[in-house]
Amino acid sequence: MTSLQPISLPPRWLPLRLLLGGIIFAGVLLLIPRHDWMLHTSLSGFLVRCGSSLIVLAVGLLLALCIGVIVGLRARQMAQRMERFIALLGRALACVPVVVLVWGGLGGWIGRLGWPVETLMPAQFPDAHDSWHTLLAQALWKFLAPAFILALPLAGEMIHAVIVDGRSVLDLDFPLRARGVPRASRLWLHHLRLLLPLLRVRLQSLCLIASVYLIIIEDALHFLGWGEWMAQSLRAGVAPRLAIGFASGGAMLALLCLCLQVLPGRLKCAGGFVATLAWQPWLLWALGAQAFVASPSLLWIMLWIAVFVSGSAGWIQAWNRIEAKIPVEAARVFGPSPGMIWRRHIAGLQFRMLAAWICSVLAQTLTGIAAACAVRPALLEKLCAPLAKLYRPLAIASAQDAAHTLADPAALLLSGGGIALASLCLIQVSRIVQPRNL
Amino acid sequence: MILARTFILGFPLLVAAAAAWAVHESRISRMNRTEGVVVMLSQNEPVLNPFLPATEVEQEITDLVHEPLIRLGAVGTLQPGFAEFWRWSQDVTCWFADEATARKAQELLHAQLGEQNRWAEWHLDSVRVQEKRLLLSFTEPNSAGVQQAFEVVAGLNLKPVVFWRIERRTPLRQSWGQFMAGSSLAGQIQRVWFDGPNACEIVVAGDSHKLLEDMHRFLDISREEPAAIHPLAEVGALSEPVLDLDIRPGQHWHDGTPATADDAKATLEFLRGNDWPLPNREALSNIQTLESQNNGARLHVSFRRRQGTALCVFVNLPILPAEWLRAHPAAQPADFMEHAPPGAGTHRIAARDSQSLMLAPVQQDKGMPGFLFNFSASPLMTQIGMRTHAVDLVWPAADQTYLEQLRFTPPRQRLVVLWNTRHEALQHARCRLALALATDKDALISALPGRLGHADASLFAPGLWFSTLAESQPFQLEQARKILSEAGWPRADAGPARSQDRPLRFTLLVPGVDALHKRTADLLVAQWQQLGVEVKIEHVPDALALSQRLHEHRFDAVLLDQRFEVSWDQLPWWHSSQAKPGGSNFCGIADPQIDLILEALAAEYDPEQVPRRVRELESRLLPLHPLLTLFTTHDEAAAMPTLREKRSARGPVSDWTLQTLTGPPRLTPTAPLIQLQLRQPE
Repeated sequence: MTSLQPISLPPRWLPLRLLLGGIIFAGVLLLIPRHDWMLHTSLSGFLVRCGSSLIVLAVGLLLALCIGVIVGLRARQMAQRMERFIALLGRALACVPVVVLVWGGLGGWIGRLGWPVETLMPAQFPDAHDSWHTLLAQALWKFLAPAFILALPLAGEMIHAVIVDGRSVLDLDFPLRARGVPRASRLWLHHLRLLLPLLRVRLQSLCLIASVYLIIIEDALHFLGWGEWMAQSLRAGVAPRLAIGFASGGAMLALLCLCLQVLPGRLKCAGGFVATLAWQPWLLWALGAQAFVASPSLLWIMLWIAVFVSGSAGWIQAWNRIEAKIPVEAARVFGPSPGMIWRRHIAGLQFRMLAAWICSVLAQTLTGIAAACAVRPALLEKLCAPLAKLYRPLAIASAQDAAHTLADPAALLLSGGGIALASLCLIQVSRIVQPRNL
Repeated sequence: MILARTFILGFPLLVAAAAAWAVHESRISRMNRTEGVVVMLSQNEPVLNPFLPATEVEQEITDLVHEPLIRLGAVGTLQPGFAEFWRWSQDVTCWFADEATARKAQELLHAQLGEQNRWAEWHLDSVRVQEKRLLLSFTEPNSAGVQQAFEVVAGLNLKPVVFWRIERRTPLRQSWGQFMAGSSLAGQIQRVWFDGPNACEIVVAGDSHKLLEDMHRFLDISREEPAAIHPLAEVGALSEPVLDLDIRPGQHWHDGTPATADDAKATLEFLRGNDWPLPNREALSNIQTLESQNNGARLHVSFRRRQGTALCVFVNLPILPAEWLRAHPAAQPADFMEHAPPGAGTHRIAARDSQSLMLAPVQQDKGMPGFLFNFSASPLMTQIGMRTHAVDLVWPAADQTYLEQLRFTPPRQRLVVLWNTRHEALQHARCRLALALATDKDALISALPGRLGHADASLFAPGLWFSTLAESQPFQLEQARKILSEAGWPRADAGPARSQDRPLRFTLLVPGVDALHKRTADLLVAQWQQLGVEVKIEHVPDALALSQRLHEHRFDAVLLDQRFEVSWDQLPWWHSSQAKPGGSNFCGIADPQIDLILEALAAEYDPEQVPRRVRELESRLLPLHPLLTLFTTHDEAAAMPTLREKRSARGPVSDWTLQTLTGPPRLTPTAPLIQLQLRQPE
């Protein structure tokens, strides 16, 4: 999802800002009157949930990073067309709604192969847990199943990022080759060293969206973690529960981003209020806010605002880079009016940027609606008929829906494939239309 | 570089390898389950009140965990449970003016042990004197020798024995307690039996006049509102049927404490103290006294009424430990859920929470499987369980894929149409026969939802040792039309069947709550229309209204659920004495010959004689077509191919229970009814 918008540089003290953002949003939710303060859980139980989700997030992110780097660097050794194709595949994978990945995966794993997913299995006789390795295996698989599913879209993002960002860093391939540095060293030492700061930023931005993915995945797998708690709270619309969820979510994201700081290499931090705003989990917040809004138009406005704000810093930074290279001063030498300069040198670029931005926002809205409908199937009723038809297989509201999807995931896959294709097409149009650095 | 590369390449490989191993281990651990049967149930956590199972599954869990005094065996015969042996006898008590007269009476009876040994002829076992009382014990509950023995002592100043009934508008127990404690004449009262909170019946030996005055003093609410005390009967001696149940030695509860007759006594007293709708409830309420004898090895039960089917009250009635019952004197659902009583059955509750219940076999060496019940199983969880072969049974069957693996439980009830023979048309047996012939039960079963089975025409539950499996009328519409025409209701073309002055029409009363009843009624009306009969459906809103309509005989035909009970007493439903308004012979059958058979059947104490009497009754009653049986209703479970059943269960069988999975049916021989040898007086 993040690859659909231009990447922006994070602000300074990102972990702190994320923590504060979560707390502030939780505070805003608590302003909503008529609270039900019954949280129906203990503090230790909730902390265990958060810990479990942190493990899943960490494993998922690490897997995504490793797969992205392996595939991306491997693609770099191939022909340029092949490299672009692999980047496109990565982007396509990132465009597939997570609910499709999780239910499609379950359909194949359980429905077709008949293999177990620990969190979804019926109770078992305790005698079967005799051996320690059985216990260990079950615990391991309990955590790895959601981590694998989480890693899929994130890996798509990372593959795309490794290939695209690989082109934006200094290409030392020729001089290193001239010095006789072996290919493996050129790639895994020098190129990766240059790439790592960018990948760190990518991973940090992925953390923001991964929290939403986690809610969908844990909810589908009945994994008792922070995500499942949030899914329940979002459906119930209980403000105090959501507030705790957002505050703890902010803390989890802060912790993850802090851990990612250990990756070597630093980039210049972005300043300003816009970067602070953009580097917040806006989609997560939008889902939370939607739980308290009845008007259909407001629901989607919230989603657009989330998409707009989360991409704002990236678009502004991209425009600033382009604007800096527009030869306005040189044009003034020839004495045209400012209006003419704007028409001749800026208007076209601004129009293209606007078109690219609209396409990008539309693409991200498509996947955002999928996430919102997956978490709160009731939202489906607030969509217009054609969209509701498209998203209906993704909104698994009841156990019967789930059983039906498990038995025959064709409708889900068709719908998800359609959304992914539409999203991919829009983002490709956005990429084509968007002006390059001049 | 090497480190980074190793990590980047190694981490996904390591995670993939760990996942592959974990999946493999997890699969193996779930596939190699040998220890038990995993059952998925869509119902929520059950209360597991052993006396009030809400569903078939609860009934079967109860059967696994709890042990009754007498069990209904796999082949429908009475089998020993807690009770190893049981026997009926009869106690007769006579009251005399003084002890000397009582001893004289005893001597007179002992004198009958002469050369002729009339005791053996009378089935008299013992004669004892207790103060002014003479106690005669007969080995036969229906012995004619009672009268002959009584005639021997009748000349000696016997005190009359009078039955009184006391009724009051307000609860009686507290005042009665005060009377018994405070009245000097209370010793005259030999037996007390409470019929609800506001009424009781007493047995008084001797003159009752002063006693009645004293009772009024204690029991009258006010001078204007005295307690109603009126006599029921006066006899020379009190005769009471007695059932002795010998408890099997060496039996223990799941908590290790020994099971004795005290537990059985406490259970029966507990049940008499509440108003749960148990099978054979009336027989339970007719228990006069309960005694634990021989250090808890025998339960001695005396009844206030002669009722041969009283034995049935103990059949499949779970017994609970007295200690648990003392700790939960007014047990509520929460008590059964949070502090489940230990049983003495083949399985014990090993673990229980809101989501699951685990039953472990008590005797591990017998190779019985354990059971793990998953409650509130969603269709998703069920589907996952089936796909991953992690479950063995899904109850009720949810997936069409496993339809060929269905297991049907025994029927617990059936649907019948009861005719009111007071109706101008339905009073004719041939008309009722025509309606039976015009009823296509196969079409009903195939058109209605749920798992329905073919019901026979017998008055009794199927699968019992006295079941007759009387054949029901096959569907023969033309024959039905012919019979109806001969009976005076010919049908012109497709019009209604009508007599000379009016068409054949009646109203079918249908309980309005159950969808199955409604749909059945619609289909029946459509089928009977083919015969030319106009049937109007009338729904009754609730059970109370239905009961009122039935007791007032304000119906033509009624669709009723007949719950199967282990009992051979049919007297309340068909005896002419019950045919008057308020009686329970709703059908209105009145036949003196049938009355005699019904009376003999109700008074039959010997289960071995019951089949003969049942056949006799049905041969007389069924040709009158008093009711039309439609179908039985069953529960169904889907068995997964992984289920290792001890007994082959191919195709639809209707006697499948969870007990089937625990091994071959227990073929314990029927407990012999011991014929006690005559003892010489000491």
